[in-house]
Amino acid sequence: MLILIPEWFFSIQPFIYILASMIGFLVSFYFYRSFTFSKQKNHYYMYLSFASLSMGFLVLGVTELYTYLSIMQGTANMFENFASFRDLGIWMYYICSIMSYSLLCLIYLPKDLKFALFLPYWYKGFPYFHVLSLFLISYVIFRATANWFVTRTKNSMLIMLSFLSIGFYHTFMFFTSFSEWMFVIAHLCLLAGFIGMFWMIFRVSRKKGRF
Amino acid sequence: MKERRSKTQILVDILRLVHRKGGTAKSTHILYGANLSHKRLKLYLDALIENGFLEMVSERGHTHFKITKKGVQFIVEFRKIQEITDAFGIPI
Repeated sequence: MLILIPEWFFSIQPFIYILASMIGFLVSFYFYRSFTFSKQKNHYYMYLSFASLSMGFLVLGVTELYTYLSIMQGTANMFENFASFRDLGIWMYYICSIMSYSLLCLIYLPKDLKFALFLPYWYKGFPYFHVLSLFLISYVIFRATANWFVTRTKNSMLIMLSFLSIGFYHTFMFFTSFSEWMFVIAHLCLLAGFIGMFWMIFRVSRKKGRF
Repeated sequence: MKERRSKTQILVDILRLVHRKGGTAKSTHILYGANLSHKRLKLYLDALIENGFLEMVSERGHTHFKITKKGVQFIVEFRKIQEITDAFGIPI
């Protein structure tokens, strides 16, 4: 599939991935802390899920940054030196993301329906990575929305919007062969998604003296 | 119907109760406030003392339970974590 990317965006893209990974690691840290309190499996899976997603974005960010710097310095031959390194980053990201979304679905799916998690893999994901991701994240968005309807808190709304933004990221990525702006919009959605999560953690952390 | 409280939630409820009472509370106050049987309360109080969240203080022949600095920090930390997990719809 042809992916159209604006040239100026090459320098920004790695930083979006790295920032997303930092926020993801922060969320995973909080879920690890909650696991130490509660010893609940779901909290451990949540920690693994965000750690995996963050690792994927970190690897992707580093490989994309290396690729960009190599091109800028003229040290890389576009089709030889860094192609395999960049591919490695992308594949690592694909694997980590799918693992992460699958874990999220595992957490949110009711006990009797956990077998449904194996159904999406019939699509043989990788060429259709974003479709598969969208399929998995859609269920997470649905559960986050249901949670917001029940709790009606700003925090749960931020989480719902964050997952929704990540869902939009995968949707727009699927249309990157039509316009290079789709790629930019997709990445802005990704950034908005992770900033939403960071904003929620910031809101919770700044409240002092409440017991 | 209310959901059953987790063990951690009960421990935090006891700590919050003692904190609300001004930092010290009698075991009878905790017993009614935390809605626990005497046997279970003893188990939880022992666990809290063992972890350094509460300490036993004797005053005029009465035993009181006093919340420690570590106990207060635990409640604050727990509240943060609870808000985050609730936002994701996976309560502690």
